[in-house]
Amino acid sequence: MPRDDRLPFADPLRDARRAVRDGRFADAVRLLDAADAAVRGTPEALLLSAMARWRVGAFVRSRTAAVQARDGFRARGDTDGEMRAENVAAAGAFALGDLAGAERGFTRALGLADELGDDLMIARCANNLGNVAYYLRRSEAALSFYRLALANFERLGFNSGLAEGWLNTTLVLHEAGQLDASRDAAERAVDAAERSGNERILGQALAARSETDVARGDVDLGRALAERALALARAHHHVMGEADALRIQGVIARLHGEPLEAARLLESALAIARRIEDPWRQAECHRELGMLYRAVARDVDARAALEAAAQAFERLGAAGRAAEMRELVEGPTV
Amino acid sequence: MTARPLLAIVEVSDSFRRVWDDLAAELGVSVARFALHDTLPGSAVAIMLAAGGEEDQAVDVLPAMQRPSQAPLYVVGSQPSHRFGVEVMRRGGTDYFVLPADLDLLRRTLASRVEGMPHRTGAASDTATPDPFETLQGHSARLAEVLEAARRVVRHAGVTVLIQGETGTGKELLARALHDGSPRGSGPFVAINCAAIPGELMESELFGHERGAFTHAHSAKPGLFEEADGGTLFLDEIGHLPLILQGKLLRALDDRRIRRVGSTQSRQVDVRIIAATHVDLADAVHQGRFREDLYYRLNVVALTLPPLRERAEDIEVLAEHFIRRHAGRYRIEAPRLTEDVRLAIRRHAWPGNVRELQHAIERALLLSPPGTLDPAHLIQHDRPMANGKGPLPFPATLDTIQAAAVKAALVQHDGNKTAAARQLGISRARLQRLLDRGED
Repeated sequence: MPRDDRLPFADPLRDARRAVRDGRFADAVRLLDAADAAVRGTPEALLLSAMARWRVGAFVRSRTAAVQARDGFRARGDTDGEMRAENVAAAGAFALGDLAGAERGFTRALGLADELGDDLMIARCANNLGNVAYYLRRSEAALSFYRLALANFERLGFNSGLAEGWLNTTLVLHEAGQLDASRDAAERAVDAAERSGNERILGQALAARSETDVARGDVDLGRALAERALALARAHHHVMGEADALRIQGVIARLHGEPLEAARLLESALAIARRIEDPWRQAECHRELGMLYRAVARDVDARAALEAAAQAFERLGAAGRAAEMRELVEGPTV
Repeated sequence: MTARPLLAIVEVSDSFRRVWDDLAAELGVSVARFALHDTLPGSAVAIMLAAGGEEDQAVDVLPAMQRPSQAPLYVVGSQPSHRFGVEVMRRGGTDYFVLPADLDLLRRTLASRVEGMPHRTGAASDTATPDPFETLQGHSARLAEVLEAARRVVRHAGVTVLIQGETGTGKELLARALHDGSPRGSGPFVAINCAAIPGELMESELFGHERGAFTHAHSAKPGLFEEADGGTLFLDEIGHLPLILQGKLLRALDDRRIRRVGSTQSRQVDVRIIAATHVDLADAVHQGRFREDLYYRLNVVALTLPPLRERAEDIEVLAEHFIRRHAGRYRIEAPRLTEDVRLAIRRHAWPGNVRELQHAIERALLLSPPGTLDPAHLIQHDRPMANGKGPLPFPATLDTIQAAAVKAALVQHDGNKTAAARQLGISRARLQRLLDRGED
């Protein structure tokens, strides 16, 4: 006998997908955990679970689920699914500070994307591999990956991607001391962000440009740009951008001989970085606080801040950066 | 890999994945998937909102989608419903397709979109950008002469162009304009600065590599030649290309084929080369630093951009252009050029050319009171290091200059020797030796 009074068909995968789409990542995790084992174990559900867990900061379980999803897709011969799961697994490794694992995963995903001719995934994997190389202070490798990412974003006409790629390039060139090239890259990031209409990225690009201008000796211009970056970040509730702009303003205040203001700005940036549990930004803030305290001869505070930075970089797998912080802890004040 | 039109897929559900791949293969387009809140690429032939099984959600998300105005947005679902189709269009969608029933219709619709895209080869479309060179501002006779020559070659998709000019004169802007206005305009424009890439990496950058080709080649990686397929590869500072690669570039240009490092197979590529240099390449040929055959291969059409000092009448036009542009960017009132600003910009020599003028205007705009342009902020006369002690001593002995450079770098990097050495382009050990020598 037909049943007309059936309950709506329950589909936890669909509901979890909706939750991920709406940014309700914790709900997605709950829905997937409550699903039947048969559903929970499908590569699709595992990949969704990995994505949602990554967004709520459960990186270990995210990575585990992504690896299981990858193996499931691979067994099924679904190269596209395998590539996506590999990318999420690598992102999990990256967040956990396993840079070697992240590099292996992104490399495999890049290989699969190249095989499939998936330009967007090539660009994203290359961008991620550039980030890994940047963390490891392998400047040339980072720039090479960013060039590949940029060429693909260019092919796709994807301005947000171009802005991100140029922004990353700016940071590497800045660190390598190529300040004119860094400013040129920052300008390209600003142009691309403007074209994309994405004001969050525009704010970040202005912040990077500001940092480069400060390093080139134009502190006044750097300050003006950092103020605009901060205003954009706040207007768009972009906390990462806000933390970056405050950190740069802190550095500028230090260079202007305003240590109290510098400390206030850097502590504000650090508080945001802690709140959003962003280890990289925490490390950067500790480093700048260490530099500030060194400059005003607060040696004990300087050592503590630099040691905190070293530990944060170590947790991220950036051993070279951690060693540099320790070198500063031990080194003389110049 | 070829430069194909792009079909952008936004997934509300993971429905129809195989359909996209099949359609892409049939229509000769590439597929890229985007998240719902991504800013979608302006170059997309169409945006597909894949909503099979999630049709009710599709109508909710449509109004919030950021999409380029020129690309149609098609919603694809599996629920046949006239009411739903109307709702999709009411909320900004272009059309609604039900699969599998509408597959042929969808295929025809997309095929017609693809056919309507500008072609990559043959004559340039009359609907292309009216004047791709309008980004190069100025009315001077010197600039007009260059642009006239550029306009003559712009419609020829394959011709190689060599752009010469001092740093900051706008060589990349001209290259981009030549690309945009050409029949390759919808293809990729890939720019590479040959001076910025270490010689040992250059071959892999240009031609790509296979997995295991060298120590760190953990996966295959396409090169920039492949990325530029169907479009233009802009080789800036071509004079810095190592001699051994000059031969390989010449072969790639002649054969229209490239081979990834570590590969035994070659790949066909369709790339137009635009090269640029700020040095005299003919002189480099004379000195044996640049291959003569490559020089003649690149120098099919030569365009020389004049320095700003030789087109003084353009300076104010450019200044006004940059004021408008940056005032718009920073959302501040655009000031007028006062007489003292005009005087200041006319007096300056602008050794950094248009780029320097642009930076000067931006700087003055940001640092002056709103609605004004203070000439005092135009030029940053001294460029001391961020927290250094000022310019290096000169004239002085080399030892004195080196010691001052080391000290300045250390000050700038807060005593971090590794970073200071990196900035100076020397090893940390050498920096230590220089420091030790200074202490003797």
